[in-house]
Amino acid sequence: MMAASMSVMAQNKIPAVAVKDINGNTIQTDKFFNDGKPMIINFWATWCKPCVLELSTIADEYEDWVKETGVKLIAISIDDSRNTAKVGPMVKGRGWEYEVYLDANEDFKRAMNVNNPPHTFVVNGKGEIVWQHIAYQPGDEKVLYDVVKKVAAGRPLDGH
Amino acid sequence: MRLKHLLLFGLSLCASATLIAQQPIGNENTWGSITGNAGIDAQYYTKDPAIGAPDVPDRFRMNSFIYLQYKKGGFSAGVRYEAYLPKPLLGIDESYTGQGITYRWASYKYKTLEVTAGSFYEQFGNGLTYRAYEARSLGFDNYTDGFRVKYNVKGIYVKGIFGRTRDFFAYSPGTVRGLDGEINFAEMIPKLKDKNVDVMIGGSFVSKFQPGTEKVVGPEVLFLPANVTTAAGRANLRLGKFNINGEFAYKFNDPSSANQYTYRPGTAAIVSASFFTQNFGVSVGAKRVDNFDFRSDREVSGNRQLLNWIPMLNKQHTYNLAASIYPYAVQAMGEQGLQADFQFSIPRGSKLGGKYGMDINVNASIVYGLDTMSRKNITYVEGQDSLTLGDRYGYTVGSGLGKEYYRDFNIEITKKFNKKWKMSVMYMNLYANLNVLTISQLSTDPFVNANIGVIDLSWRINTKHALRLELQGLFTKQDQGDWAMALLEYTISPNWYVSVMNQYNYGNPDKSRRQNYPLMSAGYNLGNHRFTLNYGRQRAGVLCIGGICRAVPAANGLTFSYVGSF
Repeated sequence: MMAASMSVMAQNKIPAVAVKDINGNTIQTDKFFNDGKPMIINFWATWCKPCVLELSTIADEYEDWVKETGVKLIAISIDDSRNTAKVGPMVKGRGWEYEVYLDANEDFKRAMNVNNPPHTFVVNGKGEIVWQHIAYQPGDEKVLYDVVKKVAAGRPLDGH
Repeated sequence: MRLKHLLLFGLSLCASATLIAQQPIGNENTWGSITGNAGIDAQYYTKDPAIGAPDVPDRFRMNSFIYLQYKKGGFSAGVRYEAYLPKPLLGIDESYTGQGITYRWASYKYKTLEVTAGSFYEQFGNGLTYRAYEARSLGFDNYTDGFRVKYNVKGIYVKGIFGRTRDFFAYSPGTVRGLDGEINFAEMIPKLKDKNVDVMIGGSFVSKFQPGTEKVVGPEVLFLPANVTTAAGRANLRLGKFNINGEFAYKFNDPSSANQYTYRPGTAAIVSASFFTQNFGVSVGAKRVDNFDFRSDREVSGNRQLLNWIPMLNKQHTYNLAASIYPYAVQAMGEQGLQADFQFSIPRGSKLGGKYGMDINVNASIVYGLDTMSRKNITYVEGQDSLTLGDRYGYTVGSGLGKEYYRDFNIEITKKFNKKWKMSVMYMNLYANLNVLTISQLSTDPFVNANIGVIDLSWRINTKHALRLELQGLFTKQDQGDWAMALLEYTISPNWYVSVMNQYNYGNPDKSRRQNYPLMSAGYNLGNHRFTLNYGRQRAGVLCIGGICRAVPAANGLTFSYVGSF
């Protein structure tokens, strides 16, 4: 049953939930757009160490990833209003170039069936979720990038 | 027996959901889509009186849930089944014992109008007057069950809610009604966006209804009002890279067990300002809360039936000793505090930064009680003269500072040396007033001054293998004395991790309490499913091991966990 769900992913689109950008403007999540190129949606929090490690590690290679595949990483912070004021300073202070949104009451997290951060999704050019992964361990960014490259080239994702 | 049937039921639900979810794209329009997630935490408890662990005669406890969501066009629905059998895990309120369908809802969205019937989570502004949310691994879930409408047009957002609050597998006697409005001028007026200015104003009314009643308190007969109303106003202003945000809330008379049946109004205010630019960010915040406990039932306490949420104004720590020994807890009845947080990166290529740069975070916060010196003691004592009406209605709170509750200064530096080695170090100095925080076992000296040091070193052995070492120390002359902790974690991307950890209370003034808390952990990832096995002693707090973060209550024994999404 588990193996079956692994090899044939449900081709679902991103549900429509309201999130806010760092400037306080409301965006609907089904409007996430990258001009036909793949997107990475990553759920994180300022207090989640493996999340910050994952985003820092990817940040070192992000420029290359974008150049080679045109991918866009959308980082969804599930920090509650206690920490939302610190999200902008942390992202900019660390020099991350991602698109960051605030999901302060976890509505998008719930709609995407995320349990705990970090949780990463890859979305193809048609807006369909084609891959997801829980947790982050050093080295996982290589697996993530392999998936992104395959999706950008339109190749199938067997075995991931 | 019943447990086995439940697990089989749960797994078969999971199987059928994954089969339905595998319909190819073309069918999504005719069938709709089903997704979901599930989790099990099962623990076998061993006796451990040495660390004061309560005895669990039935030995086995389990928390579990499965959540399914259906979506077709503008229509969506969800249902969650929870089972806490034979009883919930230690640290979770035993009133959860049992099983059943809890969170269930149906929603229809048409353009910018969304209507929900059933259970929902929602937040008004910062949550000061209304926040329904979940932190179920900590046993917290206060969703509202009733009706919700959301509508927006060109930058104006309106929300209305009505319902009862969850109380374990039942609902509150009181009902809540609320209305929230927010105007985002930058979404309305494109010229503002061009000038890089954002202005938002918002307001909310939340009112709770619980049948009025008479209550005898000491020699007095009080009439407790049926309706309790709160009103709040908020605003946000952004000018380029500078942002300022504030919210003020007012609560009309709310005599309840939390405030010993006083009729005094409550107030809560938070203000924060932040500035960020390339490689530098700063945020400062201030908060003042006075008599702001707000629930669906005036008689309950603890985490039950809360209607609102007051954010904490100190750093959310995750390193074990910093997060779980003297954590700060919000005092809704009265507190005031300040926080400042600086985040900056020493650029790459500089002498101090090295090839990869260096990240530095400096944070400080301080919390005081309110100056209630002029407040009369309103507890009735047998034989004393009865209290005057003035005490119950109008005791005053001074504008000065009350007792110091908590203070925290910390600095964290992260540096990547090369492709293989990375290190973080943290130093923290804290002060905790245990009379207020009541988190410790020993309170011979309730005013704790402590210093904490952390070294977190990781080694990327090769592309897939990594080793991480964490050393922590907490040094104090009060309470339980000094602690030391060591953690070694080995990960094999993308599937495996194994770790061993030990915390040792070597400095405890009571020699019999100088205990070790060893914990072994292993986990396996299969795409969107994760299995974990823990064996040993666990403290409460946020635990980050093996690539995932989890809020966990205190535990002891053998734990099996599963989380998955499908």
